[in-house]
Amino acid sequence: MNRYDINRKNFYEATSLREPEKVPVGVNMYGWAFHYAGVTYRDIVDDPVAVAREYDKFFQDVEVDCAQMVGLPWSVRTWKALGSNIYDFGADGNCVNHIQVNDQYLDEGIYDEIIADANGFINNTGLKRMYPIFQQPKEQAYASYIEALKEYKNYSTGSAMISASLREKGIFSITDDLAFMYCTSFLKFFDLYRGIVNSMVDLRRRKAKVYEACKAIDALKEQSLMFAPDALPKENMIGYTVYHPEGGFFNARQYDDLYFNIIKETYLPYLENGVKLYIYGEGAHMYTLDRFRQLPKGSIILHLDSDDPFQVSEKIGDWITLSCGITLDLLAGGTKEQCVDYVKKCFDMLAPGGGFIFAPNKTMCSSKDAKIENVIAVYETANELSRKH
Amino acid sequence: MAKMELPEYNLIQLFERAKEDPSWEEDPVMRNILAESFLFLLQFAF
Repeated sequence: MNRYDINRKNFYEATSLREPEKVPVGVNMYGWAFHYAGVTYRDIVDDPVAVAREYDKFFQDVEVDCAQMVGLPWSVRTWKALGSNIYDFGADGNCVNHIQVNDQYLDEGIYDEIIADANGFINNTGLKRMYPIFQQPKEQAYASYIEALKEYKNYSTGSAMISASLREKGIFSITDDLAFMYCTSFLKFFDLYRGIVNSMVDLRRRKAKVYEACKAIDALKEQSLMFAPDALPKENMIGYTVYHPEGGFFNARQYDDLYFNIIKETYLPYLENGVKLYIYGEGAHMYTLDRFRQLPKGSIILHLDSDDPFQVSEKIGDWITLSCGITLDLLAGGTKEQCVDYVKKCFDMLAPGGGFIFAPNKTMCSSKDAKIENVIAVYETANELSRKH
Repeated sequence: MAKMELPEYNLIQLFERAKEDPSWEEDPVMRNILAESFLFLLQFAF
């Protein structure tokens, strides 16, 4: 069996609550990889070969088994070509910032528009409102669109080279086995159309309309599912959620109405057919953990962000897999010894019996997210311990 | 944001026209982007 197949097998063993031969050691990393390589992403962004080569250096030096959130930061150049200035490089030149004060949010009338014609809004009028190039006359819009595509091609080429290189090294990426992707449809309002503040106010002032608009978007998502739950192309596959409002902005009822009940109604058949739902859990989850007992045992992989993994394990560790093991707080501000001690505690407490994969709690984006010496020590320790369980 | 006057052309037709642009005939990366990922990205289609 080659290294990729071994890593993939260990991943599904661990997440099926069985002890794997090696606990998967995972990574979440965007722009920090360039800091590690000693370059600045902004300086090489137009050269996809250099981008891929420099990003790869961390993976040449450090043993990694699985990739959770990896690749290039958001494509600043593409967004600029679309006429939008909501993304830009941070001061370090490696992190890409979402500059929310530059967002131009849409008015509350969009709920009615989406309820009337969700497809038309998402594919036509919504895009015209979001991206300034599509507010131009047709021929100018077309020319600008082609320019944006060319910028994206540059970004996409670098991304593809990185993916291929990780695969060559035998690193299993959870998106290799993607069966579906589902985040709450409210995310469109929360992150894109209305912004966090407006959309959360909308949930109080015009709840019925928000819910109806989310339902209309959910219906489109259901229509575009790649596979039927009983016709999956692989024996093991992964559904994917990134928590945004789900991880602490929703109250318990909103969490059920706008996320969890949809998982049960639409996606449970996939979980019953062996798909595992990987949740990149940004935020806090303690108040929703008990819900997972309504889903098949061993079907959930919860990546922890701000919750205490030991408390989470006590509450639900017998039922789901936890992805955790080190925090960026420690990697950035702790000593090497503190980092290593924390990793050891995670392996001691969470690895026995399976249901644990190692990963940093947040994606390493900016240069100051982690000290290089701490990261090296942490991965050496994690790889050593991962073979002992 | 105030309501804006939007141009009347249909973007879906514009995207289809880009897919059929002969410039990409020998360019599998661009064809793949046009077929799959770019619209998904614009739509924020998670």
